[in-house]
Amino acid sequence: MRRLPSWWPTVLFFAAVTSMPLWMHDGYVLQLVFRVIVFAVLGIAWNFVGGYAGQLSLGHVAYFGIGAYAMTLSTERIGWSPWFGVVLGAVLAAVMALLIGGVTFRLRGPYFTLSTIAAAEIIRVLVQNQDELTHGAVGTNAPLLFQAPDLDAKFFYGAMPLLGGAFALASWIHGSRFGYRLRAIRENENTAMAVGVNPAVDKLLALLPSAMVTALAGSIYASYFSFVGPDTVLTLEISVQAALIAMLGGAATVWGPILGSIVLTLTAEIFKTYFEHTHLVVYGLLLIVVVIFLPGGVISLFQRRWKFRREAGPIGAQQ
Amino acid sequence: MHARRRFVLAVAALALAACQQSKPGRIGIITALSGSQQAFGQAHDRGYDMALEEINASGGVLGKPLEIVKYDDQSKADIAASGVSKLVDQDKVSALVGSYSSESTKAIVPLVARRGVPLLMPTATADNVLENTQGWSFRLCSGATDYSNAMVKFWKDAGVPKSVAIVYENTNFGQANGAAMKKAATEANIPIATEESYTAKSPSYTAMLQKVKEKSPDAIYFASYLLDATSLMHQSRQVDLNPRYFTAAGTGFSTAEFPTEEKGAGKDADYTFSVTQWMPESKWPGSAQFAEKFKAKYGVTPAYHAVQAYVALKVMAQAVKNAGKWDPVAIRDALKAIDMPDTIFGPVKFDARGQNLHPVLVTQIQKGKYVIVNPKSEATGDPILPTPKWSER
Amino acid sequence: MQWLQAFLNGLLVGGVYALIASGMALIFGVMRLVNFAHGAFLMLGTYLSFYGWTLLGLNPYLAFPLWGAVLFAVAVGTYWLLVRRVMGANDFLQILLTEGISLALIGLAQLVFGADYRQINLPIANRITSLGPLHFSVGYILSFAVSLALVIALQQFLSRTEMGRAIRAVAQNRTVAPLMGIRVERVSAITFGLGIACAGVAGALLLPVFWTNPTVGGPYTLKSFVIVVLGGMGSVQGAALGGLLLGVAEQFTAYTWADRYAEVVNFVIFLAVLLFRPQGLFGGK
Repeated sequence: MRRLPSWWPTVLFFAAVTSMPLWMHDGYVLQLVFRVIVFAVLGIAWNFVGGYAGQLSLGHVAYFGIGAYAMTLSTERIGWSPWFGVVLGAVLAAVMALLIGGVTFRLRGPYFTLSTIAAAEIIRVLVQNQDELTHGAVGTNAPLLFQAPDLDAKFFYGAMPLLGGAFALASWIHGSRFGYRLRAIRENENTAMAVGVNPAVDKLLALLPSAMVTALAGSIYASYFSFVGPDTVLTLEISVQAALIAMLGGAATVWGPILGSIVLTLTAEIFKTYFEHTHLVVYGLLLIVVVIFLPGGVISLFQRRWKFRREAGPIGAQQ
Repeated sequence: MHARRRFVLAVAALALAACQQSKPGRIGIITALSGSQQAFGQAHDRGYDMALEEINASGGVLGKPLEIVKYDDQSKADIAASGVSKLVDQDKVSALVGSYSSESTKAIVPLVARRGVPLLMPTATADNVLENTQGWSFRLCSGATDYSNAMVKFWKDAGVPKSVAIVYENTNFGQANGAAMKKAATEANIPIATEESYTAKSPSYTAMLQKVKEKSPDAIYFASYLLDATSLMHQSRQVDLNPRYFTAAGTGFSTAEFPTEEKGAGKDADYTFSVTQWMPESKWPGSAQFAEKFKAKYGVTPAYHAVQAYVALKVMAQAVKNAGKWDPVAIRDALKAIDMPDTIFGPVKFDARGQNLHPVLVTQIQKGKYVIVNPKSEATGDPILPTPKWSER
Repeated sequence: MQWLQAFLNGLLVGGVYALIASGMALIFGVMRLVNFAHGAFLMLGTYLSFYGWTLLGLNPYLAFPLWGAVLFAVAVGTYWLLVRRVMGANDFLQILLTEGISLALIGLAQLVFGADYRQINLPIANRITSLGPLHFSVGYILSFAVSLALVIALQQFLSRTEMGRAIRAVAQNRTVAPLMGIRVERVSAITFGLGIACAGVAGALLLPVFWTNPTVGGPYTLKSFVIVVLGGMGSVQGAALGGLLLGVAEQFTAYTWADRYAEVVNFVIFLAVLLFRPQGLFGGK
């Protein structure tokens, strides 16, 4: 059942957003949209594991941080171009995914979630304490992936292909047999095994691209803001944001994380500008509201309107 | 989805239009008004407000009242970075002051260079914040290396310890200062008895302090905030740790609350030495009056963070006046050349790297009060040495 | 000798951990609810204790039953408004809901109390007593004693009272319990209330020897999970012993390796237990 609406709106959307630097000259707005894009990528990547496969990971920041740090440290210590560092970051994230996934996927439900938190926290503590290698808690400036002038526009143009690629990957997964297998695992892992699915392998197969895309997002984010530090790219909050964005928008959908990122990032920014100090409360209340009233995510609003056949809900049958 | 984006763009466009209307230029301020560093951000906020009041009471800048625009970085480096964008691109400020933490400050240094706007850093002490400034950033306060050097100089005057144990909190402040002392002690040929780093979340430091005690250090150098400073002193007593010197890299050990019973270590704080950037008792002109005015207005004695903010805004305002116009390049050049010998923070003059050569004070708490003991030219009293053992107090 | 000191200090700290984790074990064992808001409620307990002392002069070591009662009420209210809607639903939704509650509480605390750190200086808490070469903080001894007393009281409540039996029945079999005339919803509400009250009281007891700010609870949520897993999911006795064990493990790590790695010990134990002995040290429920 193809979720994707017909071609045109999608192309239009991407074209409109990509062209923004040409007609929007306000650096602040561009920067805001850049953040929306990067977090949408994060949400889409998380979705492979969290939405489709139903494994609620709250440790994805590990991959985000690996991407950011790999790029920064390889440029600094080995003298490579930051782009090599970006690739290195993705590769290391894949390796870490095998390691972390290998350990955590043996667990189910809340145990799995907790173990992902534990894994990410271990990485954060190690990075924070190995200050000889990583600059520890002080952090350091991240290298630029593009040259001035017009950096805002260039970063924008750099982020769009990432979004496009993640979107394409998500679309493919959504309609493919792999995607069906993931959903089967999400619904009931034991039953899935009974019909010949191998959850251990498929979960890892979902985690690999998820981790790599997350690492790419981490690299570009750190480079744009010129900074890496354990409190910036390795926090639990980023993991929660990834899950929240996908959940809020509509887990196990292709557009969901994009919607979720738009809603979350813009709401947080508006609240920050007009009602200081409230962003945590906003996050918290949003989570509560979504869980209770919109477990299908924001996209379920559109689904009802467009009368698309609604799936049973992104997280399984609802009571 | 489309409607929302249009709304945002409309707001942005309006904001842009509104900005074009107003001349003269403005100074942007980034600090931690919320989040984990809120307490320090608030000290900054108050310092900035007081400075603004005084500047405008004496005629403003270039004939008009000075306007500042504040941005809350929520104690996060990436938000601080986006603050630069908002303040410079949207609010069209001509100069920036901020932020609070070394992380947030370090994040904005390359961005102000990219945008060609001068930045004055009031408080960040990590040594690496002055890297990559490309001439656009200046630092008012002393850095971690200056702290350690000042402490070592004090030791040379008062009696070099046979060894030093470095105990620091595991955050950017702690790590920066721990590393700086390690370097300074090594250069001064003082053996390092041990290095211990802790997390403020630990319920008890006794195990760590016990380890330190076993190395019998002659001096201990702490880099801690107020809470851990308090616990560390109480638990040092519990563990009966008795070095010749208890010393510290400022912050927790130099706040007004630290010697108090209700909010600090009370009597356990006595005899500790600390570096500090400023005290109400310092001899710089106007210090005592500033402290009184601040206390009258806000009810608390100002810590040096408030003073740094206050002086930073005044220095920046003076730079604009010297430049004669709201042009970022001219303001930057004015900062490079500035020479203000009589601020309440001591003389302000930046070296080639953008660092203000600010003298660091060393204080000791004696009977619950801070006494400045070094350098001799600023001292208000003599140090009490050696530190009496816990059992003898 | 220093090992003995580290061991005993670990036990003292572990007492409070035991109380926090018992609350978590109760909630998880009976309601099968993964409560990510546990630490946030602990934080509320610390603030109640803080304002109780600074504004009303109420000593935390005496006023803790009051704070427990307040948190019990708050928890039952939260249950009726929010938590019961996800009972029986997917883990996903439960985790997200409780995480949402946690964030909202922390955010509110930042707004209302400010993000500043707070501590109190209770003269009695800062005293040191000595037993030969061993020194102990009186504050920790008191916190330990009260926590342990409460843990034991909780266990007695569960084994000897009718409500306690009802709770255990629901823990054993939620579907069948109603057939025995047990009102499961009511039991769930009370369990949640009790579990949160444990966290809150632990917070109140922790304040004299520690500090607070809106984010103080986070590590304790994780710690509670670690302990509950260590002790055996849902076992309240297991959680108590697990708490003591974790306290000792942390102090040993701080002593032999480094204080900053003590938090890593939490995660390593957690993963190790889940992988190698998932039923915990003390078996199943």
